[in-house]
Amino acid sequence: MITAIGAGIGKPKEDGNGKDEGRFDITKLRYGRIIIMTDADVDGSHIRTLLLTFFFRQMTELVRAGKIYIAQPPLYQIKRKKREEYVDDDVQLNKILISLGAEDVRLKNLADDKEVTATQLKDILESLEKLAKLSEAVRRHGGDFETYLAERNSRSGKLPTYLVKVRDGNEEAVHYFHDEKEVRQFHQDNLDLNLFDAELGQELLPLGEAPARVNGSRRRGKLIELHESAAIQKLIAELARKGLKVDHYAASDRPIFELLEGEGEKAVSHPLFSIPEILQKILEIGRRGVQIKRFKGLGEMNAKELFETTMNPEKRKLLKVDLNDDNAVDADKMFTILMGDVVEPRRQFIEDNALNVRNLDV
Amino acid sequence: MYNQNETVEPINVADEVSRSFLDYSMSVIISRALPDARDGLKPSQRRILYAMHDLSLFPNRQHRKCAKICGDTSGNYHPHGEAVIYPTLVHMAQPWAMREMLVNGQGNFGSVEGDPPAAMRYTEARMTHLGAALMTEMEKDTVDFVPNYDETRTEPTVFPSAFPNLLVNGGTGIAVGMATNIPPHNLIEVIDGICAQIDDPDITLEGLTKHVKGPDFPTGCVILGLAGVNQYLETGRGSMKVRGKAGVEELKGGREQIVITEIPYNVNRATLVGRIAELVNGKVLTDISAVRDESDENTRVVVELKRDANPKIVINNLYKHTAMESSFAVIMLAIDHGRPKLLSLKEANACYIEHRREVVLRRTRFELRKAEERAETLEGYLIALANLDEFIRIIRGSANRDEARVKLLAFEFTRRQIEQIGVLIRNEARLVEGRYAFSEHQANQILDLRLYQLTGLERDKIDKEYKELIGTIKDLRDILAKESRVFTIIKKELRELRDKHGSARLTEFIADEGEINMEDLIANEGCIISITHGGFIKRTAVSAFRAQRRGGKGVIGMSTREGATEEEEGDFVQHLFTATTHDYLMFFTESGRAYVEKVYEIPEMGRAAKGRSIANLLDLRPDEKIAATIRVQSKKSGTGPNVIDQTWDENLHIVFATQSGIVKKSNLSDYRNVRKGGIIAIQIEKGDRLIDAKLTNGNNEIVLITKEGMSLRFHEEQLRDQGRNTVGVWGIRPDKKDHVVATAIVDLNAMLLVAGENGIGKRTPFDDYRKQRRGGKGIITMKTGEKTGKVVGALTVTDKDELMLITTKGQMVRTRVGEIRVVGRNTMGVKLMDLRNGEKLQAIAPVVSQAEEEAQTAELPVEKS
Repeated sequence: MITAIGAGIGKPKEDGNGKDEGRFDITKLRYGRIIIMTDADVDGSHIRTLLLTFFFRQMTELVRAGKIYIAQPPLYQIKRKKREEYVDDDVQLNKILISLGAEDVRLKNLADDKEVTATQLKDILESLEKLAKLSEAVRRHGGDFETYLAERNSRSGKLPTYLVKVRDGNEEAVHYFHDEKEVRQFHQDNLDLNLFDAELGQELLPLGEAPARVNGSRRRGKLIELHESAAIQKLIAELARKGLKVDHYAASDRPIFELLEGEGEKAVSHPLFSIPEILQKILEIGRRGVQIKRFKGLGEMNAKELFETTMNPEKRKLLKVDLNDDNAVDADKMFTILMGDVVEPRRQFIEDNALNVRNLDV
Repeated sequence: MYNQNETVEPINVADEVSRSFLDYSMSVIISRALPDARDGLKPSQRRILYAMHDLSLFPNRQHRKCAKICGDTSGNYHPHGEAVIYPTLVHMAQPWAMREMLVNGQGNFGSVEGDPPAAMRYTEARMTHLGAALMTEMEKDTVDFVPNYDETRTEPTVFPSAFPNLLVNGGTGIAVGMATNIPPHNLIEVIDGICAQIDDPDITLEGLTKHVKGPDFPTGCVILGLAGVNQYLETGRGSMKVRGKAGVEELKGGREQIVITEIPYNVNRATLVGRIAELVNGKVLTDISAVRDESDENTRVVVELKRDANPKIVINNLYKHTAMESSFAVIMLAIDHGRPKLLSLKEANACYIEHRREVVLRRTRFELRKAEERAETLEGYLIALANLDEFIRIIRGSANRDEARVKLLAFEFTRRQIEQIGVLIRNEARLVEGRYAFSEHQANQILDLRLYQLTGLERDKIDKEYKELIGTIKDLRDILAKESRVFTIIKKELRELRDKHGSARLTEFIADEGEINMEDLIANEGCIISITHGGFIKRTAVSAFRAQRRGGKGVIGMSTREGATEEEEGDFVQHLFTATTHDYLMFFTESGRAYVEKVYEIPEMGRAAKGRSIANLLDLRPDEKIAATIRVQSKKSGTGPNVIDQTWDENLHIVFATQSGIVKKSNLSDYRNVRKGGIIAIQIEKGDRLIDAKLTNGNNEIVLITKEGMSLRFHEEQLRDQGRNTVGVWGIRPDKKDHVVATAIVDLNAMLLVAGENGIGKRTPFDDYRKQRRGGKGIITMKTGEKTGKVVGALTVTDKDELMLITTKGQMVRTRVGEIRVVGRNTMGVKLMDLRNGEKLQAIAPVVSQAEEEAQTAELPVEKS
C-alpha cells in the first residue's frame, strides 16, 4: 500500500535536517483520491478502522489534505418486477418498503369515514415506524404495549415510567408505575418481594423495613425504568392530532380503519382492527413481490454490479474523511482509546456507547 | 470518468472510526466471541451443531464428512468461510480440549501435541450423546427461532441445553475490550450444585462448593491451592496454579527417573518436552540426563536423571521453569440477556436454572396444546361413535362433503348427553349457551374416519386413549400451575442425565505449599538422621529399625552396612541422631550461608542405603561445602488450625567460628525465614572460612583450638547477639600462619581430645583449661613439634565414644576413646595410630559406635512435641 501511494511513510524529522528519505512527502503522492472500500458487514467496519488508524498515525498529512475517502457499497439489493434498487442500510430499506407499500393504498378512518391524504399517510407511517421501535423496547422489557398504554393516567394521559415484573410460581405479573413514589409504595405493600433494580444491578430494600419472608419464601421481582416513555408519549400525542386515538392501539372488535389497495373496481379492502396494524399491513404490501438480497461482501457482487453501485463516479456516493484543526484533538483521543494498548478505556467506551450501535451482525 | 457533480459527503474522522469500531466490537462481543450463559455455546458452535441436527447426525447414525457439515453450516447459517468453521468443529471433538465432547469424530482430529487434524475432506463426524442432548425437544417450541442471514430458513437463538454446557465444557474467547476464559467442570458436580441451588436459591458459596469442587480438566492434572478456585467461583474472576502430574520410578541399580503422566490443560505436550530439552541444554536443569516422550494415547514423558539427583528437586524445577506448572486465569464472562456479564458460580447456575425453567414451561405448554387438540379430535370421535347410526344416515343423505360437514356442525348436545358418553368438559367456554357443538376441525376429523375404525376394538382403543389423554392433560395443567413441579422435573431430568453420562473427576487438588503447612499432612514421627563424613544424609524411620530388630539381633545387619561403607566407599557415619519429622536441620556452609530443611524433606531410606548428597538436597551453590549441621527441635503450641510454631522463639543461640579466629553469636529466631536458596549467616571475609557452628543455650562455654596447638576457652556471655549479615568479633588471635581448626563446647563430664598430624593425640579434662577473655592469643593445648605435627582437630569426647582417624592417603582407623590416655594440658600426648612414611593424619571425626546406635534406637521415640 505504501508503495502504491508512493509518498513514503512516517513523519518528517522535526529539525528538517538528517535523512528524510522515505519519509512521508505529500508532493510525491501518486493519486488524487485514496478510497477505502471494504465489505459492508462489521468485519468491513473493522478493516476500515484499521486502515484509518494507519493513515491517521503514519500519513496524517494525507488525511489532513482530504485525500482519504470511504466508498459506500450497498447492503441490500431490492428487486421488484423489473426494477432494481440498491439500499445502503436497514433504515433505508424499511423506508423504501414503506413507500412501496404506501404507493397505491388509501387509508380510511372508519370513525368519520374520511380518507387520509397521501402526505398525511406518509407522516403517520413515519411516526408509526418510530413508535414500533419504542413499543418493541417496552415489549423487550417484558411489558405489553397495549396494557402499558391502558395504564396511562386517565386525566393527564401521562404514561407509566416504571415497570415491575413479579414472578409468582410459574406466572409472571407486570405492574406499571408512574413515579418512584408509587414503586416504593408498592414495595412497602409487598414486603415479601425481592425487588431487583435492573439499572442499579442490585436489590432494593423496602424503606425502614427488614425484608420479610412469607411462608418461608420470598417472591422475586424486577424493577425496570422505561426511558422510552417520554418519546412514546410525544409520538402518541402527535398521532392523536392526526386522528389516531390512543384507545385504538389495542385490537378492537370491529374495524377502525380500512386500507384500500388499488383503484376503483379492483380495489381490495383490508379492514384494520388496531393502529399498529396499519404499518404491518403496509409493510406486508410493500414486501409483496419484492426480492431482497443482502450483500455482505464485495465479492458477492458481479463486477458490473460492483461498478454500478459503488465505483461509478456518476452514481456512487463517497464519504470524504475530514480532519482539520478543530477536530484533530478529538480524533487523536478517539484513536488512542480505540486502538491504543490500554484496554480499560476501550471497554468503558464500548460500555458507554453500547446503545448507539448502527448495525449488529449476527 | 471524473465527474464534477458526484456526491461526496464529508465525515468527521473521529465519528467514522468510533462508529465503525463500535459496530465491529459490539458484534464481536454479542454474537461471536462470547458464549451464551444458557447453553454455553458461541454462535458458530451452535450453528455447526444445528447443521448437524439438520443432517440427522445423531450418535447412533453414520458419520458424515466434515466438509459436508462445514459446507452446510456456512451455506445455511454461518456466512463465513468453512475454513474457519472446521477448526471449531474439530475443537468440539477433541478429547483433551473438551471435558465432555459434543462431537464424535472419525479420523485424525489432531493431537494434544498440537498436530493439525486431517483436512475436512478426509474426516467424518457425528454428534455425541451430550451434543445431541443440547438439542433434545428443540422442536417442542422450547426456544425461539429467528430467520437465518438470508431469511430462507430459521435457526434457534439458543438450545434447550439438557445439561449445563457452559460450566461443564467452559470456553475461551477474546472479544474487544473483554475476554472470557471459563474452565471445564465435572458434569456430576455441576448438576449436583444446580440441584442444590434449586432447592435453596439462597445457597451460599460454601454450600455450592460442597458439590462443585472446582475445575475438572479433561487432561487431569492437579490444581494448587483453593484460594484462586474459591475466588473465581465467588466473583467470576480468579487465578490458580495448575500442575501436571509427575511420579518417580525406580530403575535397576538404584537410579530413578521422573515420569510425567499428565500435563496441564491447554499445554501442548510437544512444546513442553521441547522446553525441558532446551533447559537441559541451557544448563538450567542440570540433573537431567535425557528426556524421552514415550506417550501413546496416554501421556508418558520420561525424564532421566543423573546419578545422585534428587527427583523431588528436579520435579520442583520442572514446575518452576516449564509449563508443567501453569497459571490459569479465569474470567467467567458470558452473554446474559444480550449483554456480556461476569458470572459467579451461583449466577451461572441461576442463568441455567432460569433457562431450563423456561424450556420446561414452554415444552409443557406445547404438549398441553397438542394433547388438547388430540382430545378435541377424540371427543368428536366418541360423540360420533355414540351417535353412529344417525351420523351415517346424515352422511349417506348428503350430496357432498360440504353438505355433510354443515349438517354435522348443526348438531348440538346437552352437557348431560356428552357426559354420558364419557366426554369431559375440559373448558366451560367450550359450551355455547350450555350446549356442545362440533368444531370445524372435529367435523372434518369425523368425516375422515375410516370404516375399520368403527369396529369394537378400535372404539375401545379410542376410549382408552381418551382416558389416558385426560390424565395427561390434568397432569400438564398441574405442572403449569405449580412452580415446584417444574423444578422437580428439571432436577429429575438433570439427574437422569448425570447418571447416564457423568464421569468421575479427573483433576485433583493439592494444597499450595504457601498456604497449608506441609506438616498438617505429615505425621510427626521419630526418625534417625545419619550424616556421613563424605556429606551424605538420609533419614530412617524408627519402624525400619524396629522391624529389623525383631528379625534378628540387628547387629549383623549393621556391621555389614558399616563394613560396606567403610571399605568400599571410604565413608562412614559421622553424625547420627534422633529427630522427629517436624524438626528442622540447619546447615552452614564454609562460605557462611545457612540452609534450613525440615526433617521430612530429608530423603527417607532403608538402613543399608548411603543417603543423598547434602549438596544436591540443599541446592547448594557450586563449590559450597557444609561446615556444620545443627538440629533444631520443633516446638509448637495449640492444636489443629491454631497451631503456632514456636520453634524459633526458644532462647537459643548459634555460635560461629571461622578459620581466622572470628567468632559470632546470633539468636536462633533470626533463622525462622530461611529461603530455599539459603541466607547469609555470617559474613566471611576473603580468604577466611567457617569452621563450625554450635547451638548454645546462653550459658555455654566454648573452646577454640588452633593448628599450632593454641586454645582459648571463653563464656558465651562475652558475645552479644548480632544480626545475620555481620562479621563477628575476635575469638582468638592466632599467630601468622596459624589458624583455627576446631571448636568444642565445654562439657564437664567429658574431655577435650586433640590430635596432631603425625598421629599423636591426647585427652585432657576441661578443668585444665582456664576461662579467658576472648580476643587473646590463648594458651597451649598441645605442645606441637616435630613429633606431633600440627593440630588437625579437636573433639569433645566421653569414655564410651569412638573415634575415626583419617589419613591423607584415605586410610581410616577406628579407635575407642577410652583407650587414649588422659594427660595434662601442655603435653604432647600418645601415639594414636601408626603412619607410613610421608602419610599424615588429615582429620579426626567422631564415629557412632555400634553400642551407641543401639542405644539411640532403643530410646525412641524420645521426643514428642
